[in-house]
Amino acid sequence: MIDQPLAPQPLRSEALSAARAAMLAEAARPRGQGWKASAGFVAGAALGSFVLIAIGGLISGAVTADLLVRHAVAMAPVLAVCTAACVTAFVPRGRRSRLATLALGLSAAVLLVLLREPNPLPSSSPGWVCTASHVGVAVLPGLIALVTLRRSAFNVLRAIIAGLAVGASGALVGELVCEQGPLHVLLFHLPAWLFSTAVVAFVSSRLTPRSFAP
Amino acid sequence: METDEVLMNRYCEGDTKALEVLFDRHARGVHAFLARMVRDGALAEDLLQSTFLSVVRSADRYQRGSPVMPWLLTIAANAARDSLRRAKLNPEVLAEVSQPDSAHEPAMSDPAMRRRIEAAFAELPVQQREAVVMHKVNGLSFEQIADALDITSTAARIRAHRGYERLRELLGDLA
Repeated sequence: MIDQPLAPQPLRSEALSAARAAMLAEAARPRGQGWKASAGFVAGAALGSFVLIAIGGLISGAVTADLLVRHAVAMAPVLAVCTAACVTAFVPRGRRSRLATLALGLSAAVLLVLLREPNPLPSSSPGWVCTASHVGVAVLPGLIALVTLRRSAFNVLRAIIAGLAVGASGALVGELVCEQGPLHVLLFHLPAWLFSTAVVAFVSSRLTPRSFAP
Repeated sequence: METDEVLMNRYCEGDTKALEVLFDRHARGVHAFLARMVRDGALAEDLLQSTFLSVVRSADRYQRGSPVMPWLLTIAANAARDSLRRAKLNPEVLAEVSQPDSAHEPAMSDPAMRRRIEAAFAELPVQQREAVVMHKVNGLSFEQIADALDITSTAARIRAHRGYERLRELLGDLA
């Protein structure tokens, strides 16, 4: 009996016509941008925020070239995560590449802590300022990522990877301006990255997708 | 007759007629799949529309040359899963979805048996239900199901086999 497929409920002809008409009306509209352009847009927002802040900081003196050089090794994996995540979050297929990006993100987070030099001097501002700055930097890329995620079916791994890309922009800015030690990075920087990722994934799960394509 | 893949390629290049042929060829099959997934005729009709709107909106996400039917079923399964997930978040909608759709009740020789089979299908978790329907009803291979659901073929096999086992438990003497 299991082998006999359950008879489906019939499709009404008016519903069939309505679906056909809606499809043709949609097809008559100008096509939206492809997934590569979408990925580029999110990458531009995430990395662009970081580059603009870096340039502004260098001009104003808030960021020193010496600090940039010292933190370059820690920033390189985060940059790699941000770039890879922007691609793998939006590529139509790519479960393995998304899992690899997640592993890369975890490794980059560990490296951020391990590569930070200890700093015995007390900070001039409370630790939460770093957390708030990280999250603040991630707002614009986050909004763009959420709009872009609506162009395909919700997928929790995809949403997490998009959040990872968004949060990476804040993590990069943290490396530009903060000289506190590894414990500070662990307690105030990584939670901000995690928070940005979680917010993007959660909000994305609540949005109605414009398309259910994978 | 042109294959689905040729038609989809033609649509990707802007030929709307090819899209119409694809719709005419597959709309009923996709609806049947959706009706089995959500067990609600009217909702399945809405989801059919969402499925083909998604095809239009996401033509750039179609991998040229890959089989079209599994891709269509993937979109339909995503739409059904999304609808069921939202219904769970909103119990009132769930209650509406769970109502038997008497207006669309097809003729069947033994209504009691039909209800029993429907109830057994409803007992299956969504992931197992979609694997069973794709495998048994739509005739997809485990590799195609894996590709459609973005899982490994082993996972697809496990989901379907667990679904079959559960159906056998529930249907007992009918199985």
